[in-house]
This record gives sequence, structure tokens and C-alpha cells, in this order.
Amino acid sequence: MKPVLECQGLTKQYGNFYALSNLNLTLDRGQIVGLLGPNGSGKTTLIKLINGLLVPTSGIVSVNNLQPGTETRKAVSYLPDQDYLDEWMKIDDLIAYFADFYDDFSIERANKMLNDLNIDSSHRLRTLSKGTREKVQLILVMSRNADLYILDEPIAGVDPAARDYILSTIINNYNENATILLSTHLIADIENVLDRVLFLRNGQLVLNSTVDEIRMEQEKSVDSLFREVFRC
Amino acid sequence: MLGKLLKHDMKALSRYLMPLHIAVLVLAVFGRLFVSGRGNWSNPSPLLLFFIIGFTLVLLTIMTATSIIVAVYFYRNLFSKHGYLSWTIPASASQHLASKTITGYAWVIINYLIIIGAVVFFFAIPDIPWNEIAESFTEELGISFSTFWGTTFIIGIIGSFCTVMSFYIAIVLGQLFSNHRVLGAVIVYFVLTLVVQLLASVVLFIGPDGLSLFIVESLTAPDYALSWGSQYLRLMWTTGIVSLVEGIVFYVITYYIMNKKLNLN
Repeated sequence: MKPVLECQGLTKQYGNFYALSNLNLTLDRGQIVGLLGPNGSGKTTLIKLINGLLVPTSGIVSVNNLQPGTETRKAVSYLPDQDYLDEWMKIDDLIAYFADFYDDFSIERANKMLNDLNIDSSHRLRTLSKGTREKVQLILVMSRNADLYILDEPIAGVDPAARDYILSTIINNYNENATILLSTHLIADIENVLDRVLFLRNGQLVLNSTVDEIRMEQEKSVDSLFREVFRC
Repeated sequence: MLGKLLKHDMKALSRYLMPLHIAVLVLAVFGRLFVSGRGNWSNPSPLLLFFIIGFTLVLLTIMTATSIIVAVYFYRNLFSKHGYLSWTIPASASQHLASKTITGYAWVIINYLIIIGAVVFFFAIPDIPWNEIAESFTEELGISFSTFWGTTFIIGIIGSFCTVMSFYIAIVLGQLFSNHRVLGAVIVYFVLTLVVQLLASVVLFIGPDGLSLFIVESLTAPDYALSWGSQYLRLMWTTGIVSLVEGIVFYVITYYIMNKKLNLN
């Protein structure tokens, strides 16, 4: 089966600064991958490159063997690390918008998750708290049947009680052929759901390993290893 | 996909522009019923003059606001944080640009038509001797009243396309700056407008039928007044053609940058 994501010599340069440098990476299907690294390590740059929101300085990035474009957007479900939806829109409007543009969007799944979290879909986004807006964004993204989910800091703004629901939502709402690439600082919270972790430092990949390998070979948790590798 | 984009872009733009234009129409109806229709046009009252000045200012404001709203929506939808959604739906750069151009241009034309409609509705009253005005107009300028306004209207429609595209190209060129992209877009807009005006002036003044030659001849010929009308038509059509070419060039460059140089902050 062809990999869902491939990067070859991927580089993004701003002036003399390398946000990402000669990154090589292949991700297979059916796994939850943690993209971890300190601030400024290149996580969001990599995510933007995969989504075609940035043009690489050199190298290649491909999703399902296709360079970012109209076809890859059908296969990738992306949650940015900021409020990116029009705040004047009602949640119902947003559901209609997603259903209009994404053939793989499930209205039933979105409504079920909104009900589970007691979110009224007739409300406008601007009337909701920041945490609730983040939940709505995540619900919309996870209501698609995508090949690759890219979640940039999906649990940063929500309370600990909601995190468990969100993590179970993430686990329960992707099919076995899909891959989730998840960027976060809250490693301890998500460690148990990860299959693989990628450590980024200064735009370079310093670790690409399964969570089992880290636990078995290094006898450490991902959180401990992260603190050791990125100690200030 | 283009149809879906058109639907959502039109809905988003109409949310701001529809109420503004309904207000213009209400104001025109109010003005006609209570001010211009009841006014004494042979001896205008201060209230009538005040309303005409106010009405003119409102129309100019709405025209400016329409252009600004179209430009801001283009920027917000594609290059602010909302761009994270717009650029990750399965639509191409060409579809995005086509949709924004059609909807933006449509609203500029709607604005144009409503403003003209409001003015005509306000002033088309029996007390004003429009037939006599038209006759003396034709006598002075050598072209009919309808030719003058018809040409002005058509060139206005063509020029509006260039106006919309000059906003869009300024915004996408502003995106090429690493920082202060909005400021960059504003600077690009003014520089671009200045350069284009200079080029247009060169086209209009130089040449066998150029304005410079006309001005010299009109000052020396005894019956120069009769040729002002035809010179106006030549000026308008040249402006229209230059605007159309500019608009097309701006569209192509805007598309190239959106397709090849996208770098969202």
C-alpha cells in the first residue's frame, strides 16, 4: 500500500533562516503519529507545507503520491492551531459549508458529536467560548472520512475534562486506513493514543520511532524522552 | 466547485453590501417623495440643497465602501486566518480567483446600477426641464445626451473590472512581503495606480488624435466647441480599452502569484 505522506529533502527557508531543513519522512496508513518539538522547531511549517499553504524552497512533499493541490485537499482533513472559521457564521452554516465542499463529510457524525458535548448548533461562533470554538473546529475536521488528518494543537485550549472526550473522538473517528498526524505540547495527555512519534528540532527530524520502541528499548515514556532530548 | 464558491462568496459579500444598498434605495424613495418631488426647483430651498449635498455624499460613501468591502473580503477570505479554510477546501487557485472576481465585479456593478437608479429616481421629476437641458447639451457638445451618458455608463462598467483587479493584484503582491503585508498591499496599490495613470496619460495625450494636439487646435480654431463631444467619446473609449487590457494583465499576474507563490503567515 502506498504511503499516505512522503517528504524528500523538504526545505523551507526564510532569508537565512531554515524553518525546515532537508526533511525526509514517510508515513504509512493506519497510525496516530505525534509531531513533537519545542516552539520554533518547524512543526507548523511542515504542516503548512503538507497542506499547500506554503511553497517549499526545495524538496518534495506528497500526499497519496500527489503534490499538494485540489486532489490532496480531498484527502487531508486539517485543523489549524488558531481560530480560522468566520465568527459570524452559525455552527449549522459551518456544517453546511463543510458538507458542500467535502464529499466525505458526515453531517450525522458532526451532529452526534455536538450533541455529546451539549453544543447548540444554532449558535454563532462568536458567541461561544474559546474552548467551545476549538471543540467545534475539531468536530468539523473529525467528521470527515479523510486519508490523513492533520491536527495542530487540537487540545491546547480545552479543559482537561473535555480532552478525554476529544482524544476518544480522535481515536474513534478515523478508519484503519487513515493516519493522524498530531502536533502538541501536551505530550503526557496524548502519549497513550500515539503509535509513533516524530521529534523535530531546528527544522530537522531528530527522532522517528514507534512508541513501543521507545518504551521497550529506552525504557522511557515519550514525555520523559522529550524532556531529555529537548532539555534547555 | 466554482458554483459552490460563487454561492458562498456571494452570500458573504451580500451580508455587508445588501443592507447598505437597501438603505440607498430607501433614501432615494424618501428623497423623491418628500424632498425632490415637493421642492421648488426654480427657487431651491436650503433644505432641498442640503438634501442634495447629503444625498451625494451618501452615494459617494457607499461607492467607496463597496470597493473597500470587496477588497477586504478578498484579503480576509484568502490571506488572513480564514485562508486556512479557503485554501484547504478542494478548490484551485483559478477557481478561487474566478469566484472572487465574478462576485466582486458583480457587486461593484450592482452598486453602480443602484447609484444611477437612485440618482435618476431622485431627479426625474416633471419640474426639471430635461428635454431642454438635453437639447442645449447636444448643441454645445455636438453629441446627443443619450450618447454621452450611454458611453459613460459602458466605460464605467468596463473600468469597474479594472478597479476590482487593481485591488486584488495589490493584495497578492502585498503577500510577497515577508512582514507588514497589509501595509505592503496599500503601498503597492498607490504605486500601481500612479504608474497606470501615468501610462494611461501617455496613451491619451500622445498620438495622431491625442489630447495634446486637440487642445492646441481647439484653442486656435474658431468652432472648437463642437468637437468637445467627439473628443470626449474618444477619450472614454481609449480609457475603456486601456482599463480592459490592464484588468486582464492584473488578472493573469494575480492568478500566477496565487497559484505559485502562496505563503500564508
